[in-house]
Amino acid sequence: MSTALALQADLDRSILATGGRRVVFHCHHYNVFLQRTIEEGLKERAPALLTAAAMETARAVLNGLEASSPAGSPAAILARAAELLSANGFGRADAGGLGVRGGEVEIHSSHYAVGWVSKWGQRPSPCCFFAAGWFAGAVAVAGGLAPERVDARETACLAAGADRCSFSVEVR
Amino acid sequence: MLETVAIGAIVMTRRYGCIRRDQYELRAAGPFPPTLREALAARGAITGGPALYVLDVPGAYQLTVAPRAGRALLMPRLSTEPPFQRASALDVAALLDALTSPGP
Amino acid sequence: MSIDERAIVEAVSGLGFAANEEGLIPAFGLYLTRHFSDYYNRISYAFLHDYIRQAPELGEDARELLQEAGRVCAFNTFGGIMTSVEWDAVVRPMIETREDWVRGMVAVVNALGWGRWSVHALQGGERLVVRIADSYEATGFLRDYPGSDEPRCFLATGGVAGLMNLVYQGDVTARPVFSEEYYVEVFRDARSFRAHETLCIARGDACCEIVAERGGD
Repeated sequence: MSTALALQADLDRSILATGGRRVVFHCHHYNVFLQRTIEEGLKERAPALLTAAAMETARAVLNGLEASSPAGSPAAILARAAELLSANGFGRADAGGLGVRGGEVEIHSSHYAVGWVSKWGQRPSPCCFFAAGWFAGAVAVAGGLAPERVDARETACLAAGADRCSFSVEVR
Repeated sequence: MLETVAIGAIVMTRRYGCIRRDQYELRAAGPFPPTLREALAARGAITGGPALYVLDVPGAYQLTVAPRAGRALLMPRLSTEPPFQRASALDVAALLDALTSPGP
Repeated sequence: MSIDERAIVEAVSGLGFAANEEGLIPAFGLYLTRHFSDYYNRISYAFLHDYIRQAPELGEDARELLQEAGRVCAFNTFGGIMTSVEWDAVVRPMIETREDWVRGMVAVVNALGWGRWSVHALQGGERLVVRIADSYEATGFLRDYPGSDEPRCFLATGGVAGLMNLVYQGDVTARPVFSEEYYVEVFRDARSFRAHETLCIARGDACCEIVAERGGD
């Protein structure tokens, strides 16, 4: 992992950060249980909230990293986003098909999908909203785009029976 | 808990982890010998200190070892198949037994 | 020997928690993420305010649901940690009393980036008071909202209750199986611990404080 992505740690205050944004360790039990709580409570409103929150998170982190350690090019920003997602435990991301005009991403062993299945088995629809929003945010930062121009959705999900998770990012 | 097996002096317990892999706990009656770390180092990268160390074998498993407690946990990679996972755990258990059991 | 928090934080932090080639971080028998407090806070507080917008009285339902997520976190995460190989190596040798299980777990929390937890008071089996400096929940809330009349550390509140339930209502020292049935047995008994946040920086207090006590007799 590149040094730019390394955690900054203040052990006295128990604060960790990347790109100037706080990082907190949580396990799959909490991650999927919290998501299920929100999905059950907000129903059809949940996917948009979860994806938008992830997009906003990605933009903040990646812009923070750009300010301290510029990646050098839009392609490098996208590669950094994929590397950071993987390094932070969300699964191995292959973003080679992603550019500033959008594209496709695959994640093998997506944390949210693996976690969901381990607790509750399969579900009828995709569950990796965080990853979808993350790559939407990455494209927005890489392309210098207003966030409302970028949409991302998961088109296939391990938790819904696929053998890996696939995402489509579109730029309007 | 899915299975408990004795491999000589080592008790191996298989627990359900998730759909693609189980977890394997390996226990001895007493501490693991100091020679274990060196024996494991031949299999992959080891990080950590004398009280707690982790062996990582890419494409296979991660083994977390508390040598003074005589306890280790093997977490297989998700990409591996269950028979390979069990074989890996049995292999490590056999090594632990060989190092732990008193000689003739 | 008693709980050496600095040694625990350094030992746990020293594990690195690096992702493997699958992009996953196995640790304590769990899969960890180095997640972002911004994300947790945004989705949690948006959920809360969505409920309040529907009807003010639904705010209590949302708070209870978010605290339940914290209790589930404690049950699985704290439970997993306290029965892990890592715990046996680093913390267990320091333990002399049942109360040391509580102190040891609080020390491990301080390696997770949640802000600095400290045991302000502990009456074994009856009451725990935890104070938190730089709580990621409360500081995150204040980033996005002007302040609150109510406390906002839902994960931590559920977590503190969960910790006491694991140690004193159940028996984590006996390495139980963390099943749904065990959760109900330990967390939903009339005497199970419940927690409430008595101080919160989101309300303008100097720190966050959470008190866990047994349910009414």
